[in-house]
Amino acid sequence: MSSGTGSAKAPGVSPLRFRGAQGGVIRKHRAMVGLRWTPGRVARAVSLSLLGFIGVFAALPLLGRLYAIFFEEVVWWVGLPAGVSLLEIHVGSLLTIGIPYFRLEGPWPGTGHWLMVGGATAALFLVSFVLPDRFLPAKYFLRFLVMIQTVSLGYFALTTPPFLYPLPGYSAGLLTAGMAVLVLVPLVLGLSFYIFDHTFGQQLALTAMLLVHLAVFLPLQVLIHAWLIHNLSALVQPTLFFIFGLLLQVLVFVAFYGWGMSWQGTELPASPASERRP
Amino acid sequence: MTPRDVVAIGLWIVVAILVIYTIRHYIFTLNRVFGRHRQPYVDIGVGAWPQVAVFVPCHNEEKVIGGMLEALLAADYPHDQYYIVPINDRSADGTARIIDDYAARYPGRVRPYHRTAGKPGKAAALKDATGHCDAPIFLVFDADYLPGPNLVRQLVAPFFDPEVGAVMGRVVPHNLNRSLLTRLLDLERSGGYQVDQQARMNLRLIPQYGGTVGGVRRSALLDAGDWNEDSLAEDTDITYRLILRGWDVVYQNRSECYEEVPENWPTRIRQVQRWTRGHNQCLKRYAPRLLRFPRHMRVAQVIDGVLLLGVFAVAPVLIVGWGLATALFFMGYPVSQSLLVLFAVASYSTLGNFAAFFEVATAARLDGSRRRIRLLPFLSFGFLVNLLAVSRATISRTSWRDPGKSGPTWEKTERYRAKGGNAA
Repeated sequence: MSSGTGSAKAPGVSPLRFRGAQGGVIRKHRAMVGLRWTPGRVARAVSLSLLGFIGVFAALPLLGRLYAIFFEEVVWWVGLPAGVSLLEIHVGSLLTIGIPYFRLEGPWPGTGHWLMVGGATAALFLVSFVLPDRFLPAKYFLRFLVMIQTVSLGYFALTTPPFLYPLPGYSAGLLTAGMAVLVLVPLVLGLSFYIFDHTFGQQLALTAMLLVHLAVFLPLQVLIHAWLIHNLSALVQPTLFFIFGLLLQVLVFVAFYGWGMSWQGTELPASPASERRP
Repeated sequence: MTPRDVVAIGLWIVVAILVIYTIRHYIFTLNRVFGRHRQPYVDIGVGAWPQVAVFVPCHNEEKVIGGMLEALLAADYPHDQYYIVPINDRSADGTARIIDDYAARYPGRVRPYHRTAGKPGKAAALKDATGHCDAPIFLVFDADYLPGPNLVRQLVAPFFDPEVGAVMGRVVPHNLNRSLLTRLLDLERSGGYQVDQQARMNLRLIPQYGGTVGGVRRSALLDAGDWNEDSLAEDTDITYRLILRGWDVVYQNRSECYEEVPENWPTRIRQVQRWTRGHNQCLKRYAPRLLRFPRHMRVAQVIDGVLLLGVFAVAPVLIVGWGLATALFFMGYPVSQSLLVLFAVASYSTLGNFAAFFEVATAARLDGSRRRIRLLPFLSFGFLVNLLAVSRATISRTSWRDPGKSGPTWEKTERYRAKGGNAA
């Protein structure tokens, strides 16, 4: 008797629960969807994170050497009269990472620097009032920038040399912080990306693209900071540090993360109605 | 202790506060994705449905009130147990005429309540209308919302549980393709409801009754002291009074209703500042009472309740943090020390902290709105505007003071439906 009706012994019946009109699939409402915390999912997220972490960590000495070569080659192209030295960071007895930095002093602000930076600050402040209301976030951002720059101008007007943060230490610090972000990338992705329903290939692709992008971005960022500080003096250093330093690196991470999260996975369905214009 | 040490300690305190909110974001998001969903009332389809009065507070709502009444009249709910009360509070436009027209066409089903005196404002209007209605359940909708036919039933179902004092549904923007702002607000709303509210429901914390797309039980409302007509945020106010009196507040993620979100930044700023003032008023009123750890509340509920009340106070804290970090920088704090680095990362939490991005991206992915997640980095602009708008509202005196004898006034969000949008 039971062979004809028992759902446990009737393979193929269970999917009928999700069969809709004209053979379509009845999907769970978005209010109900979620993912299951399976051992496989946890194992994959943990192993990918740890492997990524160890891999990036192990690659740091090589990365440091590549950055040093890049800096040595590029300083003359961009007109920086700087030598390149290495700051050695020892991670226990495991690794020694050479962080390249520029042997170059950021000049104390002179009249030309004051005119240029002060003028640009005033111009940005005025632009923030000219922009129409639909650019309000840009207006606020400009004013925020101007505020930090004005504090910096005030500081340099009231103090005497030398500046607290010489350019060599600053460039080494910025690159070190950036390399720390690189190491953290797989761990943050482990908590926020690998746990979702993306394929293994998608997970690897996002990790690789993000790491490569940041690895290329970091020395360029340090180089641009050094170039600006050398040409515009230490007047711009606080703004570069607060607005265009680590925050910019995190924003790069967020942009890639948003892109990766928009990829179709294997479990969570896409809503056709919401897939028109982003 | 040097001045630099004092500044550093201040900064550590700010960092600690931000880290607490960051951890909260992660817990809520992970719970929403992997936790057991608690939606205990969603399957109720048959029952002895109680009488319901649907309040629609209006003040100059001629552009939208007709659509709202049409939607409510189409509700799938026993007609003899259901009536609509448009509360017209001294509208100077055609709102009263439209409402009276509907009342004439649907006698008994639309029962207008025209206010010509008393304190202005939504809370006062609701309080007056409550005194004139004897239904055991009240639902409340703002006039610009568009409820579907099943929504009334879904929102009433939880009231079969005698411990439930208030119910909240999910708000979904319908004008999301008007501008970048509306798209960003859609992402924000998604994070707030799909993740934040549902996680609080799952974890038995404090889901918030939001003042629209929700309802209250008459007996619970009166037990908690009725609508507070002096409150700038009557929704948060009644949520906390109900919780403190031992009633449950329930969130129904499945009960969706469409709303119009602001299409331009000035309107958005005014909206956020209004919410800030109301929320901070509640922080001042109810945080001390929560921190006495009432016996019927769990510790986690109390902590969540205080954090929820403090959510608008985080913005000025963050600005103070930026000030302290800047001061420390110029006082010669070495860049390589971890404090500044940690702060730079943590400050991103409200200007653009990753935990908040994680929450929003997760919510949009659960919603199936995958392509929209690509706008994630632009949220940092929205956060910046919110940060400044909320901070300005917080440091204003009106944010913490009770309103005077006249009470709050109507502070309305601009409506767009009739004019086909006003993206700016």
